[in-house]
Amino acid sequence: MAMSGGLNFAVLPPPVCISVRPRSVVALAAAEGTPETAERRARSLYEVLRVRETATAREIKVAYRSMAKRFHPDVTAGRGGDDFVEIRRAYEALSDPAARARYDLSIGRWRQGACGVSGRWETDQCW
Amino acid sequence: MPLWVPVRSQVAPAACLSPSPEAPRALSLFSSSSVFPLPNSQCLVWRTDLLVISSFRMAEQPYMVASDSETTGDDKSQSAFHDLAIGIEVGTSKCSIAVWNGAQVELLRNTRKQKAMRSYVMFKDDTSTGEVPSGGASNKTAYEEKEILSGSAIFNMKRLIGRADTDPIVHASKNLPFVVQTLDIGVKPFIAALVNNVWRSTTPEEVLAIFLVELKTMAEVQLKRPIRNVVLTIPVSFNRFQQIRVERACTMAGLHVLRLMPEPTAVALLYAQQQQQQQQSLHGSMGSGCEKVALIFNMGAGYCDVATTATAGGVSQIKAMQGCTLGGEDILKNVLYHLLPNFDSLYSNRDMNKIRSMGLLRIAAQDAIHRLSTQSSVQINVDLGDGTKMQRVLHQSEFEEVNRNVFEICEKLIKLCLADSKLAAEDINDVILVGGCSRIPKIRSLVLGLCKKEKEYEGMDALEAAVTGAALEGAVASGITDPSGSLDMLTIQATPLSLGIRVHGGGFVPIIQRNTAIPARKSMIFTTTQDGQTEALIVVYEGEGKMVEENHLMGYFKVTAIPLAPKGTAEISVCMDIDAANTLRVFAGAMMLGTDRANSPFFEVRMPTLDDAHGWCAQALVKTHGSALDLTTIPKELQPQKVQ
Repeated sequence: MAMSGGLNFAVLPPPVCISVRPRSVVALAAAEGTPETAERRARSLYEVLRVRETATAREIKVAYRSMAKRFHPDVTAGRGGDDFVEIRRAYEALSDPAARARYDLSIGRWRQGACGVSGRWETDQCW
Repeated sequence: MPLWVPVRSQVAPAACLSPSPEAPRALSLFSSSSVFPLPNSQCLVWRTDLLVISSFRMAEQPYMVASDSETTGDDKSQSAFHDLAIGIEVGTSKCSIAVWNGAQVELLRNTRKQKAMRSYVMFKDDTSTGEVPSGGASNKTAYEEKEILSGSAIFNMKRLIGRADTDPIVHASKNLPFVVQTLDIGVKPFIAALVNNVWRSTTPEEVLAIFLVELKTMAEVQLKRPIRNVVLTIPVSFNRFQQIRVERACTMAGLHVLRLMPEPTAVALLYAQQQQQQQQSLHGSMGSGCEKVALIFNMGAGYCDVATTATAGGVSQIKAMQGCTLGGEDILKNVLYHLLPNFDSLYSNRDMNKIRSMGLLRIAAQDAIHRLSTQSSVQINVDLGDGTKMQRVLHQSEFEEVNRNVFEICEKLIKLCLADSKLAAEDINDVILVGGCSRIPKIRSLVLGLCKKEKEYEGMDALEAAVTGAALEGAVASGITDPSGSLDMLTIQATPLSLGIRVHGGGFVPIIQRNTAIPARKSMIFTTTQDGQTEALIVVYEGEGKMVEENHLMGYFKVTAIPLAPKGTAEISVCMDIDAANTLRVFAGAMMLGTDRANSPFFEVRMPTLDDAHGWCAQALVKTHGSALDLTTIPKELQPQKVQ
């Protein structure tokens, strides 16, 4: 039942990969704005970029750049690019005002625990 | 988080175990690190940050590269990095090598003291050297341009590599002195050089490999160490087939490609370094500073590239890239046909005298074009040797008129690139013009005009910027750090071409759009087109065309175990992943109905899986399977793409 938390699998490499890249799975789930079940709680996009939830657009950009400098595969020779893909997804979502607003709503809603975990995009309609 | 990093020490584990006089100095490079000896020739470096030093060699055999400018510190030039990747730019016409020397990037020179070496391989049968072909980097013989154009040398490898014989560029290459034969069936063209009055066949990869071996040898002699890793610059418009061929040529030459870097992105990295140094000297801090947007226009002999980059704090993010096969060769061809409308007749029967005449005219036209960069008209006097003499004046206006199509394409590329990056001319801070053709007055005024700028960015050598950037990337990606922060930067690459799959009806659906940051991972859900369809073909293409036949077929595989369901209800997930080394992997599989769980193990396929004759494969697939295994898209609102 662990995988019932939304679209994760629909957007993911196969399960084999998932076991290899647990972090990116969680990140993907978060990036898609999927409501999380308790046992698969992801870091929020803000946590990925290590910024406050009230961060300005500029702060987000600066954070993205400094994170890129630490986690881009060019500077982490030998390790894969999963960290960076996760950072990039977080940045893409948070740097787009509309996407950020949607995401904020989704995590707010998740905190209130008002929504089930049917997890399809039909849930858009109740936002 | 502390991190243990194994560091191989090839030459001198002794330097770790028993400090030699050099050891303390070398160690001081890593001021925030401690080095611990390990028995098996390895050291462990404990670092407080996460930057990894992949390897370094202790200073037992320091290589010294003579430098024009003063070095900023003794320590840096004393330490050698045995795995440090060098930067190579193999241009259509010229080529250069650069390397991070511990303090800055240094361009290597051949024995004739040239930094830019002519890209060609001479297949002349010489009794003194046997039948070993030699290229422009060779220190044996310096061939004159006349000899290079005699049919015995192959050049323009970069324009020919990875192209099929149906490609218009291959067809246009038929007026070169060596043989380019096409049979128009979508396979590798036949190319041949004249050796002992016989046309001997070769391939563009082989020619490039021979040339790379020479470059490698030259660099090894000068740097006094084996060279293995390289960062090679490529044109933006290179598709994955062309990239694979370049990689294959490198492998043949004993080189490992660490990165293939689109030329303007290499320039962007150099720009990021310059901007960072400028800001550090202004503010004395490592602050991220303000963002600067630059448009990079690069046009050499074979290709034209445009890119926009946003740079701050040493990080350059490529916003958009555009490129096409357009360069000095096309300009030269236009001028040749203008000077001699029946130019075709000179090479049709491959008469040796005609080839010689053609070579002479080519040299004269090339020289005229160069001179027109600074003069308003040039006098052309050339004796074609067969009794024909050409004496005429070529005016700049005439030159611009015959090359109008070239300028129009340049303009289109820049406009597309600006539109892709959602930038207006006013948003651009700097316009960077590089490549040999950027010296043509009309091209400079055209680019600056479109960007509404009075003058171009200064401080970059038009012919050395790309290779310098490649050497910087080589150092950064090899894990070299520099205490003064000169290597504290990064270019975040983007995919120049969209990647996607074929859907029912022959449409192309991109999964990774062009200009997506690399590494990238994107996925989409597709559905079946037949009731009870249990299998589906995933046919992967690269390109920008709306229909698949306009794009390049990368490969295909079949997804099986789709649950029985009416058409349009089963879900097939297709995920594409590009890693930092630009390797493309496609993951696909069917979902259990109404869930987000995989129905059976997914497939993972590294692309491309195809080689030549890809056009045939696509036709054969359609012929054999019709639309029985077709997929189609699902409505956008059902795609998991809400928050990207």
